Amino acid sequence: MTPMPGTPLRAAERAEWVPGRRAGSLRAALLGAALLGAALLSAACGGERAPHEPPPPRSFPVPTTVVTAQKLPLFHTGTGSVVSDERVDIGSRVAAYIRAIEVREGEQVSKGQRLATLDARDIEAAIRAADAALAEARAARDDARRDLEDARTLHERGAVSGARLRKARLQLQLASDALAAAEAEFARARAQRQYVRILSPIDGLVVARHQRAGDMASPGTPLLTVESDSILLFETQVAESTISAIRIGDSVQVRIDALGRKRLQGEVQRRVASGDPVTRRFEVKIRLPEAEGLLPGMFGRARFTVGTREAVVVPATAVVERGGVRGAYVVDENARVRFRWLRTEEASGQGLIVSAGLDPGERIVLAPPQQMREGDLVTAAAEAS
Amino acid sequence: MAEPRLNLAGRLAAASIDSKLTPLFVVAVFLLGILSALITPREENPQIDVPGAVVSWQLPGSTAAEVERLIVAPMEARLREIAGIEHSFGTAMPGKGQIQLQFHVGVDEDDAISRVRQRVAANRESLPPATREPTVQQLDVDDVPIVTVSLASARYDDYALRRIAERMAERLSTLPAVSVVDIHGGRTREIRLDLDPARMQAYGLTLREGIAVLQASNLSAVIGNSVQEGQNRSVHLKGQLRSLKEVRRLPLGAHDGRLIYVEDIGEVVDGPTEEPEHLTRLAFGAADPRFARRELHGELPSVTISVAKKQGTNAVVVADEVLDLVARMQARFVPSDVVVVNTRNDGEEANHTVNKLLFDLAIAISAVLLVLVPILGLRQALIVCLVVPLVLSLTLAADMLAGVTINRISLFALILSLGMLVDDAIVVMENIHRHYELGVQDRRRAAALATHEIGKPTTTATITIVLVFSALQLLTGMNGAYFAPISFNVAVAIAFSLLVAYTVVPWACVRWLPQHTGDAPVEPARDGILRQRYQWLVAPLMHNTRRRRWVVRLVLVALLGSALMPAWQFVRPGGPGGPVSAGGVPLSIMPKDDKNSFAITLDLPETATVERTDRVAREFGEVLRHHPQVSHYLTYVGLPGVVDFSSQVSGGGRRAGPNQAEIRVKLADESQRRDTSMHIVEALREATAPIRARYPQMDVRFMEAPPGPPTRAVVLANIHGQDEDTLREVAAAVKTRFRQTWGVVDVFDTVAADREQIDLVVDKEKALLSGVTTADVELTVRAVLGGMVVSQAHIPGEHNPVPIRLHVPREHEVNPQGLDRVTVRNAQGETVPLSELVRVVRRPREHPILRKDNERVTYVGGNVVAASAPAFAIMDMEPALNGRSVAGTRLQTGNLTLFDQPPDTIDGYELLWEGEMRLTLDSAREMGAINGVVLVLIYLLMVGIYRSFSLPLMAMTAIPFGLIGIFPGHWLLGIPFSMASMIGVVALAGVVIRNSLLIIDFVHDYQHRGHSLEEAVKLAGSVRLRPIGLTAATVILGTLVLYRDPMFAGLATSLIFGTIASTVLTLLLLPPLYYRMALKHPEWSRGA
Repeated sequence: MTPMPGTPLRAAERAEWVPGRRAGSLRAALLGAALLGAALLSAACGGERAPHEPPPPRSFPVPTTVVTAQKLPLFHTGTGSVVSDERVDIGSRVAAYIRAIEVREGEQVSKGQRLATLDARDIEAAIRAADAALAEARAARDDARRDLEDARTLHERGAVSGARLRKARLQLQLASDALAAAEAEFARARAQRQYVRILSPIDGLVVARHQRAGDMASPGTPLLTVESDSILLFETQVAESTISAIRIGDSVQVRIDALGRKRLQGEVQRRVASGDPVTRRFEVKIRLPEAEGLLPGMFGRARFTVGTREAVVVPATAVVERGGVRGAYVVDENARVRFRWLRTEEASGQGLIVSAGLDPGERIVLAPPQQMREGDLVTAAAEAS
Repeated sequence: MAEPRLNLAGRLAAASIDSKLTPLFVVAVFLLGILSALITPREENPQIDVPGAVVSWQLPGSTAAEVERLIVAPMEARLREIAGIEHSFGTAMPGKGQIQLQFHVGVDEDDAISRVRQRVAANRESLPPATREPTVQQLDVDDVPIVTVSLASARYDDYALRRIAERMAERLSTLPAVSVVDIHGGRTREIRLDLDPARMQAYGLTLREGIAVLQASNLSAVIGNSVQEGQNRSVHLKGQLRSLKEVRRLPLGAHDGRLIYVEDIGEVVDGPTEEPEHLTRLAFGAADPRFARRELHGELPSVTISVAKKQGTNAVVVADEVLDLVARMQARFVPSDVVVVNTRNDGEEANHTVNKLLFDLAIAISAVLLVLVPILGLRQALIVCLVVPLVLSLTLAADMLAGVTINRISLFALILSLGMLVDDAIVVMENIHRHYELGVQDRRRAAALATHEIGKPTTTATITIVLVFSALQLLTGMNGAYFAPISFNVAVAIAFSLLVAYTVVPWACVRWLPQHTGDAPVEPARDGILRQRYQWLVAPLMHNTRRRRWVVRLVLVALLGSALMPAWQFVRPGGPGGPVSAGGVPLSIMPKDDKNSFAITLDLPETATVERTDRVAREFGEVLRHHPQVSHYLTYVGLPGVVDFSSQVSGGGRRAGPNQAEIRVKLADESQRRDTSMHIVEALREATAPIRARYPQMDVRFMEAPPGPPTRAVVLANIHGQDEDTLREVAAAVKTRFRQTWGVVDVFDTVAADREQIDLVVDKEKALLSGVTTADVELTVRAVLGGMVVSQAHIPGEHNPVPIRLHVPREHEVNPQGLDRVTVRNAQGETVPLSELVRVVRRPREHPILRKDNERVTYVGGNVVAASAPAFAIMDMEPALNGRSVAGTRLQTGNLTLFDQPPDTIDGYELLWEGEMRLTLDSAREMGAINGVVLVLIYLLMVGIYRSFSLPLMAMTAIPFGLIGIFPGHWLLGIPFSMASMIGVVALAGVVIRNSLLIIDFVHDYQHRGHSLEEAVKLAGSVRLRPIGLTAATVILGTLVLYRDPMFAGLATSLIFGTIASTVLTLLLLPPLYYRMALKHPEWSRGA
């Protein structure tokens, strides 16, 4: 410290630098501080509140099932349409104007039923002309016959020469031939008449009408198409890579969209042995069983079994939605249920295929009631399998 | 009494005693203090600005190795050229690359990001041409949400909740102080086209055509103007899809002359996706009363709204505004079946912490006063009572002006300064009091004179302390930013205390102190006894050389023993990996703090589906829910939780993937539980062990918010090397070693699990023959396998356009083996099944390649239990790993040096230790340097004052004396030696030097007044006995309250035990030592 000139301080004075008012004050202070510290510590640790009890779990007597892994067929699905096995394009034999077409598309026709009529006037005229020619030929023959009679009589009488008789005989022969020709021509003209009426050759369904009344029907152009509806095939394209897995006679499930969820059990009938070089696809025809409402042209999917795989399948009722998530209630060893989020892939025949979320051997609630919550109990109920 | 020329202290006192400004100053400062306490932003912890950026590039179709070679490695080198970058973290994944840059703390954020942008843009040309436009994302601390509100309901699903949340979020974002409002979880509205590929095929329609038509028909535009009938009308084209019906009835093409509508080729659905990829749930735990309600029991679907505040706004105010608005909206339009839970409130946490600390501060003040009243007397204590709040008010005002927020650290600094800031006032007051007791005529003049007298030593001692604490500003990095308020506040408070002591204290003394006249005060008997005993103790030491030497040797041995205590901890009976041996002081740089929340992260192997992850998360939830102290928790499956500061630094905010889940657990409030969060976490770690045993491949981490700067992991091994496969093997070996180490828990690695990927290889020849391009194939496969947003519907009344998403439902899902159901149309109009063009190849999936600081890296990390510390775990593993040969290479460990060691793989594989160990070493380095700087500064200061080189050395012996108390103190209380303890050591230097300064000063004084050296020394020691004891008592009592915070317990221990040891030893040894030395240095007493 700097010495302070002019401030003469005595040592004794400096000694009272700290004026103690009371004896033992330091100790008292420390004691007070210790008490304060203790109070602080106790303030720091507040009382702990008792934890709240969870709501008591409810019990549900619901059936449960143990999830198992099942061998499931591995499918290949091909799309295509229903086609008919028999399909007739009906045309006209004769060239004629069409007078009337008597059926419409989609109409059911039976064998021999008249489908269309052509204009017959040309044919009638030809028949009449042939008729006239026939009459003329007949008259000419009759005349030739009488000439022969006359010539024979006269020859017997010797009035004419033998050459004359021979000539008359020849004339008759020629006239008879001409009559036969006229008769044949008449028959031919009359035969044209049947082609004017066009009849159905098979039982089936009119699937197309290519021409209309007034059009010129000519041989070679189809007027109508009729398909048989008794034998139907499903025609689909199968990619090159799958074709080897498909054999004739394989059973194939076919689902026709128009018939709803119903599946038809078909059978591979033909495998067209040559593929398309651009699209790399082969045609496969599947024979379909008879089914109500099944019509050619319907869109469908054929499901070929090309292998097998293992997967977990759960009944569709077990999967419910909770808070925007689809899953199932898994029962643990204490019979408590826990919600489990599941990834379901597709529906198989028995239920939903679970691709993630469940392991085989776990027990799930078959049909969880709406009020079921995490932690609820399942009381023993009949086990469903 | 002659009038000396007054020094600065005296002049200040003289001026303020009569000034009318002094009372005004007092009132103004109080008002200012109240004002700044109210308006200074409050935070729980000081905000650490770690500027960061994430740059990402996309190079479609490339492998991870290509991305690394072409983009990540060169760009990392380019970006590292930017000054101020501390670390870079690169990730190369198939098709994309990403570099995260971490700047040094304190680098200007906007400047840093603009330099990154500029660097990225400048190097755009050098990257492969197919690289898409890079994105630069800034990592901003202010983007960390301070408030989250979760909606949960048993009745409504997450889709409905999200729609409510969207309405609420829209309102919230209009608040002026709010920056980013986000919604986490919940499914969004979309118009979904559940495609049936078979039907498309049947109609002969290809995806490409369908998408093109859909996009082309969804168009609206302003065409132009038309003037008719003298009026101008604008012409608009209206082709937008505005409703579900319009989407359904949109014709896509014609087949056999018939139009095909969208609804023909699949179901069109309006609503949420039925196949969510992520989930968020909330559940109440046993500590919440709602746990007992049946309808709210279990995990409920939930949606969380997160709100971040703008920079510079007060978290407390913003949080209150947000919650108030939420409450009003809840009353208005949120259905009563929806519970609204405030799941995070940093504002309240901050307010709570600050209020608790203000209370602590009040306790500390009363404790100090309680000591002062009996010793000093009531009036004197009242003057101190005025001084303390005055100085604190001034400090708070300085905080407000300097931009220091009111936070845990700055308030601790105030508590810490409390014991020191009363000293100046007491010294001044006592001297004035002494003058008055002598009886003076002119009270005013006497007060000024008294202030003048003690001016020099007081100023010196104060400058010493200010210097010591200012030196703490030299701390760098996150530690520096974190502890900066201590340095600032203590230095400022002490400086202000000097000012107040020279102005307000004399003013108050003149008016309030009683006047003694005449009688010389009676020397209290007790005092005499104390002094006699002291002299009886000290005198032999002064004269008996043998005895003195013995004592000195004893002290030296104690010093050595104390210094060895931190080393002793490493000698453990169970090897370094065993529990701490008796007498050891554990080392923990950042003691864990009792927090009300923590997070659990689950990382399943990458092959795990989101359903499996969800299942594990539910199993964890089951355990959490029934823990009596869990209030609620939020589960995020497949998406990251709402980011917080530590997860932002450690990259946790980008944890998204079906194999990842995060559970954010909120505990009952501190005041309502007995166990600390650390204990609860340990208990839960135990309780979830069976679950972890069931999923051995899973990495589980319990993430407690660190009390200080965050690290990626507590114990972290960065394994650097060249070959990816070898790195994986090495990492596996290291991970095994981690698991074997005692005390190491939550072990994780960044090695991706092996999983398969499916390559679709386009057969170019076949494709050409079929007339199909690879681009056609890509588009088709993308739409069919992943689903894609093809357009957007503009639905009236909807705030955002609703995406129209093309999607193949799982029912029809095309697995890559069944590509024959998907067709592409070629140029000729024929449809070709994809299976014929594409070869399906299964092969192991490429692993992402991680890089750090330009070298390939794999991380293995873990946490340590409370009984252990990172250092022990590393000490245990280090010898086992160093030099070990794994996968044919020799592994070398490193980075246990004082300076951060950059990776270097020239000599093979290298393991660099990181995490808290690095932080410890960095701190040790910097604290060591600061200690050195402080000692030199103190020495220089005293050399200047005493004009002697040897005397200051004598004065500074008080500092090593303090060390004797520090480690035994930690050991006694079972408190780990921490960063805060180190700060305590530095602070101690400032406090104890004062003791020796005052003793030496008095010796000089007595000598000048004619006492012999021996007498002067004896008198000085005994006279200073009580004031020194008083100073020590105020420091101890002021600091005692710091024990309420585990983080600062170390500081308190250092300071309290150091002060006690130093005070006792200084009083005992300094006078004899001084006596012996002064005999040899007669210039000591003359010099000053």
